[in-house]
Amino acid sequence: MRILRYFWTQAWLNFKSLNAIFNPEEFILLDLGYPIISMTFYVLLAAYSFNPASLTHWVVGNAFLLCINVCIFTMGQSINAERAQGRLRTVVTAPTSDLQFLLAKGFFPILMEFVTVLVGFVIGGWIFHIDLSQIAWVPLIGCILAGMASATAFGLFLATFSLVTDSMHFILNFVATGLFILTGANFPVTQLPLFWRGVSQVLPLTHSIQAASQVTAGRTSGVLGNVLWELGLTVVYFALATVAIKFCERYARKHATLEMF
Amino acid sequence: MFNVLWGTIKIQMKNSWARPMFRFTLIASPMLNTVLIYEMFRHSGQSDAASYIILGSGLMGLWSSICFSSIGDIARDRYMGVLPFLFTSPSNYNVLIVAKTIGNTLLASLTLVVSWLTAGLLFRLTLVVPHPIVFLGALVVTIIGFVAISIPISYLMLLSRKTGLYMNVLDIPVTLLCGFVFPLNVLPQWTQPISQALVPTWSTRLLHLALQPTIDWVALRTTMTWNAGLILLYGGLTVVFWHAIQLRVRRNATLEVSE
Repeated sequence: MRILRYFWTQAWLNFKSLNAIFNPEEFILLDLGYPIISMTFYVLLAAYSFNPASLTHWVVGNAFLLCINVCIFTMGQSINAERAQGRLRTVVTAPTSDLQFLLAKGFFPILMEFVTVLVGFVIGGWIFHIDLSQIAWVPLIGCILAGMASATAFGLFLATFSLVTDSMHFILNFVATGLFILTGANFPVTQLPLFWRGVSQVLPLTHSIQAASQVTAGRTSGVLGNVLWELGLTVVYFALATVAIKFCERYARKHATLEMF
Repeated sequence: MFNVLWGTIKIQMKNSWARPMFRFTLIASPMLNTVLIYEMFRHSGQSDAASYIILGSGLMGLWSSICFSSIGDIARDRYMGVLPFLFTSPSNYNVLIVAKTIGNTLLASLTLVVSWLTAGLLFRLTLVVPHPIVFLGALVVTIIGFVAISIPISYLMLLSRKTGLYMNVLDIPVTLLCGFVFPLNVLPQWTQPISQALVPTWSTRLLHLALQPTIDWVALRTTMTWNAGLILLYGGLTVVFWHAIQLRVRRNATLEVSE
């Protein structure tokens, strides 16, 4: 109970500190307007380059990629933010688990991002004339949740490296752009060389995008397999984050990189 | 003044290069964007695909570098505590901002070279430049245009303590509206006036015109006129913004207020 209360307090405090300076218009612009413009850009690029009969696959794929903003960037930069505010030493030496602290920081942004992905999909569908009435929403929401879970675990794993490097902006942007290329959201994964096709299979979002594309096309075969794969990746990345944070923390103490920026 | 200008350009280039994010926008971003756009255009059959892949990803990188450097510099100066010193130094603050922007834009124009190299080395894709002098001239006008648009935006950032929000939010919309990677007729009609008011739209058009096997001199002259007109307009805006903003930040004491 105490852990839950602590988690809630940290999560709410962090959410307030992130958003308190924005007025409602700026909050909507940042959390909804910008992601939708970003999605529109990639869908229009696909419309021009592929000239397809339907843009459903690109709307689905790029709606999923909207969660990168939070799952990769917010999670990945959370340690940096603590460092900038001079609180990192306290966080690292506190008896509470670092991962729990990081997850608390991401809790409300992830809830907001779930809404963004869902609303982004609906607005994208409306802009690009996709028939939303034929979509099975429950499986689609399941795909979104699975994708966001694995992307969050991946973001947590990346965040741990903040303790040993000052180049998190580079790393996070590199990974985020890499996801645009490797997850199959913008072009089929089969176009990639064999090695990168293999890499795409162990990256978050690839399988949930495939599953969601099947759901929106009215097919059910393979959906469960892809969702289970995505959930499996969540477990793997969370386990990796658990190991990596211990390793990075020890490294940071030993090499005095904790407050390096 | 020339010494201040040149010294600031040099130091700005060094400072920008030292930041990992700038190195991302300068090197990694155009490489990754070239791969992404190439794969999307690979089976398109569009005759102008090469120019959209190479120029498009280069211009995307150039604009990103401006967003995350020239526009973000105010926030960085504020965070480091040097903004009031720069603002009140005997060297005119306008000269410092112009020099910083020139330094960033010159360095950022390397994104075009990175895209060109990536496309050539990875995909054996080349950009045929039939009229090198015209293309070089177009490139110079493009750099001037990008400098001209970033200065008034930088000044607007003096008013805000949410620079981080705006520099992120400006990145993709300008890429979308200026037709870096697809022609503007893909966009809805109502967006056209916004696109026309942005100088990167005309810079992009100028670069594409300069790559045509036979130069359409009439179109080139019209595009040049638009470029020159908008650059002058942005210059005028810079002067107006400077007078209004410097008075306001002094009166309200908000120069150092940050997120």
